[in-house]
Amino acid sequence: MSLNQKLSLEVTEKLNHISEVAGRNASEALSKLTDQKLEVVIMGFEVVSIEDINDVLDADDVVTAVYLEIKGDLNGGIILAFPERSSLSLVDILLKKSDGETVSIDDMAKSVLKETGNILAGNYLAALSNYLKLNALESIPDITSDSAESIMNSLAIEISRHSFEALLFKMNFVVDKAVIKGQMIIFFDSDSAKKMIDALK
Amino acid sequence: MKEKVYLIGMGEYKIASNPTTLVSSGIGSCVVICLYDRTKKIGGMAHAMLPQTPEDYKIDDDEEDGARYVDRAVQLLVSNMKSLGCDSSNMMAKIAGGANMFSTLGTYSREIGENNVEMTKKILAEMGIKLVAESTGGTTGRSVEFNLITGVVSIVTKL
Repeated sequence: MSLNQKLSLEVTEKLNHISEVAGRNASEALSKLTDQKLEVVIMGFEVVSIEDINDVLDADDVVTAVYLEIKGDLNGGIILAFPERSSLSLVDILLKKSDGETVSIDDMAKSVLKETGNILAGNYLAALSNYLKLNALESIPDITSDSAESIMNSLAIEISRHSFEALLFKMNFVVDKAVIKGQMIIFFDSDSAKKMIDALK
Repeated sequence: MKEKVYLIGMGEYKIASNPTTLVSSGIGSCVVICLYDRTKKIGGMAHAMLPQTPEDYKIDDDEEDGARYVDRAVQLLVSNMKSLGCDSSNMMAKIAGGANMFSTLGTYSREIGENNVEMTKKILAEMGIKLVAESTGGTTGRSVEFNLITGVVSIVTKL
């Protein structure tokens, strides 16, 4: 049975609620970290086939992406992606530099962005684990800059280890009146998604 | 005649004749295989994700997922080009992809890019098709454009 077939209306509503709770938990952490007002749009969840994953990130150009693997009862990954300009502005804020001072993603900038990913992922997964009573821990973060499509292409291969479809949660956020825009995508492989659905029944 | 452009997504393949450009974008660990018969000006592109077709793979699924696996993708390109009158002795191959975008990503995906490239070379050699150019490995994503008028394959990276 495909994942979509397993999603009853009741389970769908509960997953939407989880997405909301965990997303807010993560975004509050980012708001505290940046000391900025944060606008968050929780995009809910969808079941995506592996062939369609390349188009999941809403970006045509280069993005800086932090990736963390999810391990435990649930397996998957979290990707935090910023357009290039946004990632530089975020580093300025986090390192308390003046606007425009950071011009490239050097080792210090990478470290700061990875830590941001760590905090966001940790807060998201803590809320999720607490709600579902399932264990989900994040790995150490990794970072890369490239086209959004290429980054998602590599993640598609990682997901394909387990299945050819994934349960995917999305949230968009805007920091400091649209100076920084970002996306967080959390995906779970097919077996993990089934565990989540069973835990909600 | 107006030039046609086809976008080849993950797991897809396309055979076309001149004047056509085949495009595949956002290639990370996947591998893109371009086959060209210069005498007929017929070519094909496949965007494969994984090296080898599993033993329990249902052949009925081929229509949608034909080029998901490198081994079948190459076979499908060759057999479809032959059905259009091409001869494998006139075919040449150019390949791109197999990058490792995240160094800490699971061992599986770290190796998969490399395995995709190796399997492509193995199958091409078994089928007697000459590999004339490659842009593979590394840590950078690629986009590929295959011009069937000239046989030129262009690689674009974002960085």
